[in-house]
Amino acid sequence: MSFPYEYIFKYIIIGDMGVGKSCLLHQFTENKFVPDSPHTIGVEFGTRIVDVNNKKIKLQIWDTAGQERFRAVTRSYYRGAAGALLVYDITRRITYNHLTTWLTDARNLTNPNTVIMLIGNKKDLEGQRDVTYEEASAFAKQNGLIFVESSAKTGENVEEAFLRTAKLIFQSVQEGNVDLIPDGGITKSNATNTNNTPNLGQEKKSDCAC
Amino acid sequence: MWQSTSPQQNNFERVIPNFNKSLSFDSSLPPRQINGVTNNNSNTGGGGNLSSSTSALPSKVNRNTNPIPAHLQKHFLQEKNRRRGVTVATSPQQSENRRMILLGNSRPNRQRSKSLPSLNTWDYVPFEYKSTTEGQINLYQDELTEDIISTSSSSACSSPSSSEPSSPSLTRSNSSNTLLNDSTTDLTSSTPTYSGSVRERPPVPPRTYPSRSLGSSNDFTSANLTSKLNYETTDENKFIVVSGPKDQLVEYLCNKNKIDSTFGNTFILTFRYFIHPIELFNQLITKYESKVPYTSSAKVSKQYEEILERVRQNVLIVLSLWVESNFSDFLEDQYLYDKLIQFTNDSNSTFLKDSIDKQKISKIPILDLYSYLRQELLVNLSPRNSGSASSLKDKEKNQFFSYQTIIDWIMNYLSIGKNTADSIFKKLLKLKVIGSMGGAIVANVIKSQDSFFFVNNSNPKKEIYSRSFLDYSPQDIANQLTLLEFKMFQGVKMKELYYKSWTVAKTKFEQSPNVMALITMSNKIANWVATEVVTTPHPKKRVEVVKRFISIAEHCKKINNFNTLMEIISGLNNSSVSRLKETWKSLPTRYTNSFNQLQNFLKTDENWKLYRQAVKSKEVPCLPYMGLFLQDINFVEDGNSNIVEDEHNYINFKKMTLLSNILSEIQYFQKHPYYSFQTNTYIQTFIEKDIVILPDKELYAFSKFVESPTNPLNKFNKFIV
Repeated sequence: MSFPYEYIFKYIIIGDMGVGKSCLLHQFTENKFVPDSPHTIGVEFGTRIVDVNNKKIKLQIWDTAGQERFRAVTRSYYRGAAGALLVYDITRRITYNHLTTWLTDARNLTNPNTVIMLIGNKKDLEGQRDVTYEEASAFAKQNGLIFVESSAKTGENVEEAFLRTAKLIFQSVQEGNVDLIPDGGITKSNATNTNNTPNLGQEKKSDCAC
Repeated sequence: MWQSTSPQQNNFERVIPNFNKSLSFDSSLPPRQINGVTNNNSNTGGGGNLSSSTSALPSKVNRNTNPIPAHLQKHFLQEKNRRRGVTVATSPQQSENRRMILLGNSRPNRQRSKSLPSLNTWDYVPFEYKSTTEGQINLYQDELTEDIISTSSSSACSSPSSSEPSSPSLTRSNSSNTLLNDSTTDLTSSTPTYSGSVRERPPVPPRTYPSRSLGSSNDFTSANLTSKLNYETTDENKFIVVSGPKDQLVEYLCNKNKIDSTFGNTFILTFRYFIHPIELFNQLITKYESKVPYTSSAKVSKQYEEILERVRQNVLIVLSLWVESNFSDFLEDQYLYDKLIQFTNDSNSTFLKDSIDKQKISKIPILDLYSYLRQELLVNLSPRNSGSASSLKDKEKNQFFSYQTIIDWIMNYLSIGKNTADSIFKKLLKLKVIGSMGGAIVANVIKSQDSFFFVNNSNPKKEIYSRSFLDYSPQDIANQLTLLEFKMFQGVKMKELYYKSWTVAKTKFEQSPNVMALITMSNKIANWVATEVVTTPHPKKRVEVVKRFISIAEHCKKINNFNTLMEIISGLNNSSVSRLKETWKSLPTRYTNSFNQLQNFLKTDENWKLYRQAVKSKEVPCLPYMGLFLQDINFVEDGNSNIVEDEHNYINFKKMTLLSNILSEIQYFQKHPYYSFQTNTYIQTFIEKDIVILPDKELYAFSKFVESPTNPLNKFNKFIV
């Protein structure tokens, strides 16, 4: 029996309250998260296995939704993320204005190789748009971020956001820029030894959308 | 809603399980074998017509389209499965209706037992026939058995909630079940006929048959109502409500033989999502005040009365649950509060009164109450020395007070009932600030003339005030932080957590003041930790500071204060602190290891596995990390809608269950404060007023400076080493 995936990438999703972070996660993982029933304890939520260049990669996404206010506390989450999704709400300029702070945090607290992606969420609410695509695009360019506008509601560009970051991370893995250490947010699963990972059973469980 | 005055009230002429009769027969059987139904038409009305058709067993059979083999049937009838209720049907048509509800269209394919006196019940506890395990009907056996035994053997009312939940999915609700457990003990005084099962009993599953609607033409109001709720079966074959319209949810809450405690707790914790408190309160009162409609038969009247009594019981239980989980609903609404007090007086329910008392005293610091009590009794009530100038210390040496005196004082001072005063007294005994004269108290029984004395608990330790946290012991700081933060945690009301109101930027401080206070405090402490470290210029002293914080964190872990633990670990993880390589290098291994262990404990891997396991153990007192609760609520809110859209916009009760699991966990911990910790005002003032906090930028600047060669102390230090 072989592992269903070869790599694990750790992601974090950051941004102001109410920008739809956990909705993005729900949309991507189709995971109706049952936070603490005995069946889910120990099972990682917010995971999905994707296919990048014919390699199975497990994305393990950490969401601080609901805890944003514990600013001083949640910073410890940043450590060891391979990818960071920086989310704002295109209908609320204030969430866009706060991006600099979030970005500084992300830059300071993650490692230099962390791929940061800017996501303008709530694209479906075009009528209430408060931040133009061009403006955000320029901001992303300035700060060397990849940028996409998405809608967690319709699902538009959600897959793409996650997959594009996964590709970039994978690319830097292949180029040897990133060490395969857990602290870098990237882990390679040991395909030869199936008993090595105690998590195996749980990993498989989280594989199915429940 | 239950309309007691409706002409359709005939539906009450049905069933009341007759436990006495059951007992007279069943007690002779081995408990495991009591689970079936035998029929009895010794009753009034159209029993003869009915009894052959209303048995619990075939209903299940029909549903499974899996009739019981003949040989097994016989087996049931003769040896097993004796359970009876009373059925009174007034007309053949009615019995037919009843049969339809219970059994569906097909006739049951089993025979009536002629030999056994038995009663039918429409509101039976169903059980499952399992074709896979031949000859065995094992579902609910225990429930039925214990039911019968408990109801008949205990005159006192036992709690309807579970004392040993067997299903993992229900264990969560256990915390809130304790609500019910605690509160039902004194029910008997005001409400003699209530009876409940010892074990948690599953709600009676819906007798719904998807293919057929139990039309409104049918006069079995209650059956109709329940039939509109959607249920699911858990792995353990317990039935849980997953969705339904508002009115039916309220109906199900009270109009049952026994309260479904899991449902009741969930309902009370989440009803604000679908019903206004005043509306709910009024509906409950209407139910309570329903009158027995006129019937010609005395027997029928009696049965009405019994059903009504049960409904009244349930209303009282629901109200006390409400009082205990969301007392602020009443405190913040004068109208509702007045109504509640009026109802409590009218119904003369000590049970409900105790619940209200308990809420009244829940925020009173018990040790402060004690010092006041001690002073009052010693100075004012002391028979000798009255007016003399001798000190309290001299007086208390030979002063004894009877239990009655102390209880009277507490009751009078707090204007509460005896039961609550007694619980305070027992807490004081437990805290060992009151001693019993006769030594140990036998089996917790206290007689009113028993004498007690006050233990001299004055702290001889002289407290100092300092502006440096290093002058206080790590334990003291941890304890005081715990007291401060627990007070905030305890202040968090359930409604602050509804609709994620702490995340709504505009209203969060009005809607969720206590959550916000706790969050602000958490950030403050985390920042303070970082500030203390980076603003200590001397290298050795800085290591000392880090060591001290690790010690505080260790102590927090020891006393289950995970909120403060999280703050300190986060503070030490602040990038301005973690970048201080020299400092971390100089830290003794014991501290490095300890720090790593604590960090490991709080790591987010596998959905906070280690931390969640610790919280799950339910060791109290405990101050859990608030942020994770908020995150969990956030996920439940975002991942589930409030109504089930594809049906008739039913309330999504499954979501309510998920929410209430989190909320009841919070309440569980809120109910267990750190009684034994004494307030140290100096340290608390220091924490609240004196600690210095720097913004991130300055923290970083300090951090750069302290380990750079520009810090003269570094050179000095190197020179010495």
